[in-house]
Amino acid sequence: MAEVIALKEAVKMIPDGSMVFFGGSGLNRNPMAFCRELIRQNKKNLHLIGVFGGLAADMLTAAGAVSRVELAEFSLEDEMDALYLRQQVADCNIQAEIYSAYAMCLRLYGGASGVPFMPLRSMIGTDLRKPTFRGEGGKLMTVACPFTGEPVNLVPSINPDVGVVHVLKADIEGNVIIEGPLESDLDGLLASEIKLVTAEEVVEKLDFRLKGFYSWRVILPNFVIEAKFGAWPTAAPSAYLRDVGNLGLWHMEPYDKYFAKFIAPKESTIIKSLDGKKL
Amino acid sequence: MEKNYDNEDLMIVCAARLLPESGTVFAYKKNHIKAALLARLMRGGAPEVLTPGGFLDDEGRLIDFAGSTKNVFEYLQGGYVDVGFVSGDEVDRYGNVNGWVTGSIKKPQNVFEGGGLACDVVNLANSTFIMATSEQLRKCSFFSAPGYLKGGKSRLKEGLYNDGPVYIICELCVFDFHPKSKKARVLGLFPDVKKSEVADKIGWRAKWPWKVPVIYPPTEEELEALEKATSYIG
Repeated sequence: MAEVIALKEAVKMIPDGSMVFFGGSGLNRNPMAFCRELIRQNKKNLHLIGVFGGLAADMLTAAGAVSRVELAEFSLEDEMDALYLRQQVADCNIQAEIYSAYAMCLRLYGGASGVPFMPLRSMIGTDLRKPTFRGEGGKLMTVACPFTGEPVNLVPSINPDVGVVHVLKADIEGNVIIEGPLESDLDGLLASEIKLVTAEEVVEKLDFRLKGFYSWRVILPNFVIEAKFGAWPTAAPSAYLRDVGNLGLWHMEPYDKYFAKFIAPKESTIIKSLDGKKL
Repeated sequence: MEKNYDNEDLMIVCAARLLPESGTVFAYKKNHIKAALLARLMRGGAPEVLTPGGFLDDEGRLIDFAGSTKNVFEYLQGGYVDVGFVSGDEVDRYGNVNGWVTGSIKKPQNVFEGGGLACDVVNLANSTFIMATSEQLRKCSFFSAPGYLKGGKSRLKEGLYNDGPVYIICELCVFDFHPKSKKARVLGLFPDVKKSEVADKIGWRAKWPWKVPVIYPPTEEELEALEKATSYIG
């Protein structure tokens, strides 16, 4: 049984320096409402976990809330770069540990299924094996397989303190509907200690006999938060597309200006400004 | 005759022509997906197109895929993907790709997107096509995705038993790799591109055949299909 709480209360639970998993990827289904509230409450030293770092990671970096990231890619989209993330890593303000995408998926899966490490065939012959903050032997190990003797790469599992995922619908029992690609949200959420879900709509009981949904999952989060337009300006499949105009502003305008216009106002004001707008 | 295409179009058309007749292709950038869809449109339903989100249909929409990103990579690791597309910010003459940093990790000069996906593709797909612009063809100091490493048998010695990069496709020409030394050599030039132009623009010395073939321009059908593929993906 999940607990339905307000966005503010949920963010208050997260102390500075937490390890946070963000769902979605690139410009798809990022928990942006949650991310904006994190910035408003001035959280610091967050340790971000994800597979494909999206706009949420870039925005938190721009706000100075991040000290470490463990990701596979920063890219938002072909034409859009995660400029703040790239700049901050180049300036050594953020420590970044880059794994291959499959390695990162497996680390979350390992955390979700409660095993200490996962074997994989990827990450051979790459310089991504060199660690930054995880230290020698903490990032990746190559060992001989105990059965056949052939070398195999092992990556440590990961258990974030908090996992946040944005979904289309959730009910008070904690069932959710996700539409579009699932990404690594299920594993990431199951691996996390505190499981948070922000939903476009919270209903009493979800009807899973509904047809036409890409995918639905029962993930039983600890807390459900209602957040309309919670993924804006990224896309939430079947609810709205990405807001190209706003994303353009994110890239063109300096951060302070964007912050004053689109992050600092209350979430209710943002929803009001978006209501009726064609996205 | 007036040119009704640009070299970026021909780059995608070339990639589509080189793709196998059947099997599965892994693509993750817009360029890659366009090439794979173009091949699919030209051949009527093959090869299958796999993206990190799942399989695509003829019109570039995601087919209902009951799985996560991890399941997609399991496809790759299981050896079910015949060709994987790769892009990076630096590509050297042995097909090594850098998508992460220049300089050292501790003191980076320039930071790119990360390159974690490219690393998986070259490690796990049976063979790889590299798509890059000519400016990206230069020496790399950091191999985020290993090609033929230092050439010769060094890829095999490192423990990578799949085929590795097969072609480098840029907007001037197409390279393949010498079977023994594994150095990039020019397979064919695009129409109207001169040898000196390639030599000037790229950052390493390519091997040249005695007589350099010229790749034929895209046909009407190919351009039509490309327009379709572009309209599907945007």
